[in-house]
Amino acid sequence: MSPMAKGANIALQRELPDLSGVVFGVDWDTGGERVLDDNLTLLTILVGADGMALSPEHVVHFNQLVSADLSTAQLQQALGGDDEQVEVELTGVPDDVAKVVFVLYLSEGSGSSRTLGQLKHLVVRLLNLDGGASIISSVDLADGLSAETALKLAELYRHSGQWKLRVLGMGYSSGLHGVAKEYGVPL
Amino acid sequence: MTRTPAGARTDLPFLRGRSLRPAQQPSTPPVPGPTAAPPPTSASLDLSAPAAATPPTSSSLDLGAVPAAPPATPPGGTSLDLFDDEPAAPQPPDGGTSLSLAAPSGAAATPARSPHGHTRPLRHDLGLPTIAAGERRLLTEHEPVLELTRMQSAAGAIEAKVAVSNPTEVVLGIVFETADGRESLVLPGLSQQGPDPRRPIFRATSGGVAVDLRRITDIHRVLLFAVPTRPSKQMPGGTVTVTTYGGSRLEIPLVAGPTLGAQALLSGYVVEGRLVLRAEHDPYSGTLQQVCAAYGYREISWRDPYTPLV
Repeated sequence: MSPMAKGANIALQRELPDLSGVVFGVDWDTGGERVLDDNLTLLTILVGADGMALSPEHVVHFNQLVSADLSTAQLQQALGGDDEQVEVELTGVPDDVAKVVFVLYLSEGSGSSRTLGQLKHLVVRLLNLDGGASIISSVDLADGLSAETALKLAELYRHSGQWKLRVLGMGYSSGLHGVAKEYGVPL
Repeated sequence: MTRTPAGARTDLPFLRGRSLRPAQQPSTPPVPGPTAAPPPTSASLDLSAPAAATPPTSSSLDLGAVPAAPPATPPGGTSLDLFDDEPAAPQPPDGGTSLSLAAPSGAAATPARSPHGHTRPLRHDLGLPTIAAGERRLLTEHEPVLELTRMQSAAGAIEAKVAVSNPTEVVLGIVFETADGRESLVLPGLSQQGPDPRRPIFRATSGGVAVDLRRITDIHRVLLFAVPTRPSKQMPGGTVTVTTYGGSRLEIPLVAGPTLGAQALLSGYVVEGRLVLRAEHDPYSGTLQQVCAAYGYREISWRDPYTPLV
């Protein structure tokens, strides 16, 4: 299957009717830029029908590895070639979750300023949680980035009772602040 | 508060590992099951009285001495004791704000496991005040403690700055213990960042110090202190502010008066991913070495009582 472009979507369970869970992987290349490497951070938000995070316990990140409902969990150590991975048990996602949004942002705590435009390469991919077979991957989302400090990578969303994936690649120049404001994540 | 050196934390295994997909990790998953709860003697949060064994009326000062026995802990106090090394003392049933993390509290759910092995860590309700984004809070002697949420404890940095009429009269520093048991400190003009200058967690800033919370999982505990720069060691009066990424601001009074060289201001402990902060309001000062030792930082070498070997 050819890589998915920004904005493209796929009906996961049409292709794989028995799909019960997925692994969302992010693979980046910073070109050896250490500060960039150290501060890239993956955030996964379980979003309700109102477009807001279901609760602070439904936001998964390196300091909160599992969502309150246990459906979504970030691996402390990604497997394979990815830099970060999040497992989503689709059958365990609460009914009031309309979508699961994956965001990459640059942590701003180091005192050094970097942007996502410095990335050489950024690809997301989806694997079957059962067995690890590859389902899809994206085009290089680093293309076209400049001053962004956060990026909506992709979202899993419900459509007609089934799960779909949409690749996004939508950037923020306001970093985690902007993401938190959009999804009502208290900081 | 019992102040002894603490080793690397072993009481929170669920924060350090997760199960891996069986198809790619056929060996036994490292994640503890429901029976692998923290041992009964693991870190405890004791919000009873401060450890200062010296009566308030005493004029003597010996911050280097270790109390021979744990001080009495009258109910209603606010000291913070998260050390691992000593068995937790029995807590009185009506001990005010005392809280033990040794066993699940009523608010902690039994660890559960999803079909693919996602496990819920024990979540203790610490029962401490929290702070909202953008809120200002004076940490008083009566309400000196608060906890940051897991998100607040992981977002950006917290930065401490001093607000006095002449900022050159005092500097802020921070002594810390990392999750792997290393102790060191950051002090402007002496050690600008640590523990590893190539990937610092703690750094001196203009007018203060900052802690990079992207590395919160590498931190065990910290102590913020002030050092007056006048030869007389006179501390100027003012305020120390601690701000979060979300714009919350904690305020700690800086009391004017003579010192012996350093004054403890704020201690911080990482408890189940949450940063718990406590304004010390310590009536005693000491040399920097004495202050560090009094708060349990004893794995640091010194050139002299005011200058650490970093």
